[in-house]
Amino acid sequence: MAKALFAVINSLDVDQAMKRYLMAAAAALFLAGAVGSTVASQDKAADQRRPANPQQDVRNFLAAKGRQQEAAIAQLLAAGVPYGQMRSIVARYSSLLRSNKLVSDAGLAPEVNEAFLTDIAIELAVLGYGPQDLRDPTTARALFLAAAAKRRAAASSEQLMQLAQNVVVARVDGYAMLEPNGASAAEMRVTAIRSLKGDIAANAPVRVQLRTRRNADRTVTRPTDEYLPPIGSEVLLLLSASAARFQGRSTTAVEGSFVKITEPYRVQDGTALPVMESAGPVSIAQ
Amino acid sequence: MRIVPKFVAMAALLPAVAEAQVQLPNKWDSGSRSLAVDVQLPVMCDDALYNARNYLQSVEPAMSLPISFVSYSPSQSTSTISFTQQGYGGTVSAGTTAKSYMDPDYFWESYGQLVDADIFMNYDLLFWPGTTDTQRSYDLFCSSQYQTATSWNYDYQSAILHELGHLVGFEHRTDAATGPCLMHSSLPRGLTADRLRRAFCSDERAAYTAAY
Repeated sequence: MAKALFAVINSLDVDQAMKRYLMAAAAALFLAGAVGSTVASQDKAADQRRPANPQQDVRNFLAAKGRQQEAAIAQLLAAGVPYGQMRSIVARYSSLLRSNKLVSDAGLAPEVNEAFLTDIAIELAVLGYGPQDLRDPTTARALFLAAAAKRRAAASSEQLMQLAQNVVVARVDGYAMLEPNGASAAEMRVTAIRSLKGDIAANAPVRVQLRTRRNADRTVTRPTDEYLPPIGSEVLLLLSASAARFQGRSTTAVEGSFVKITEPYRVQDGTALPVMESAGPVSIAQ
Repeated sequence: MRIVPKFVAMAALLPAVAEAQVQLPNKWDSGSRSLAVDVQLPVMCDDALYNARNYLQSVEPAMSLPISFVSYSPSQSTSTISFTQQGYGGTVSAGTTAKSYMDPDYFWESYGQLVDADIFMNYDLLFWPGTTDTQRSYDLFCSSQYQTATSWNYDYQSAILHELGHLVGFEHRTDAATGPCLMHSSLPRGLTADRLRRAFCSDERAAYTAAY
């Protein structure tokens, strides 16, 4: 059809410039139509629905979760963490878990609950808690609920502060790549202003590991949910020195290096404002 | 084919960008980005994924986002959508887009041309049980056929559309953490109409159509 149209344009009694213009316009119209139909056919082809299978959905999740947990447990055991004891203690609080219609209907509730208990145990162990911290039932229950809520992005600020080893108000001094010339992780450097929990002294420099990293080809991968506060701003940081060992950066705790267990809070007029909706504002006025 | 990245000097433009509420400082070089969806992702969330993708394509047909289902394998030539690489002891969210920028020396304040962007959805928020009556079940809500809606749910379609917004170049808005617009940094929980974020605000839509 394009050929025929071009032939018609060529036969018109108009100057060459006008013929070229008309042919270009016709070509553009055909191209737009071809692209449109290509997009439409891609959409149509891509919109083929996979058959619904909720049990397989749950099994796929459990398989992926199992691999992740296996690696984390191996790392904990290699570091001498009594993970087995932790897991046994956490199991005592399984009655706190509520039903999940999706996994119940898929007939996999026991497996999912067991996997969730494992996640809670790993989370507490990575954050530096041990069997001795779970000896008192009231404390253990609170830590269980806090860790469970954290794994589901539903923890309150109070729960997050309970899980953190250190809570500090700090000033952001800058950012850096740990290895300037290679693939590396980034860190945020702050100066502590005031400690609300833990033993970081006022005016102490603190290094906070980030998920942002430089790749081997010198591009930078930055997770969009990682909040990088402006240099010079005041923030509330909830940190764990123990978690820094198990974040994949190093196998031993680096002096002064921490991992943030939630994104920094912005400090404004004596109140620390969270980025995540589940956590509430924290008053830090003295 | 090796992608040769272009560096776009954005530093001089930063003050203007920083003051604007909507931020779309990153762009793809071409009007198409393939989305390779991990076959292990829940089938029941497919409708929400297609709805989100189709909405973006209806707003700007010039930016094509064809979807295929594959076994997960990182690649620079396609964007993958898979489970979050969420570790233990660290921060968590409903989802994240990990993007590659061009200037490693000023990564905390610079932008450039996208060379790769992958979406990771947090499926812990779909399958884990709650521990209180109000956290009765799960957080991400994909399907009324298999799930019971609660006020604790995140709308999956809103969440994946937000992540696709990052994938096509949006940063979070600068005006507030939460609000009625898609690219606020935090999506609200709940499935009532006022809590859904299934479309751009007018300024976001204008920025998207202008960019592509």
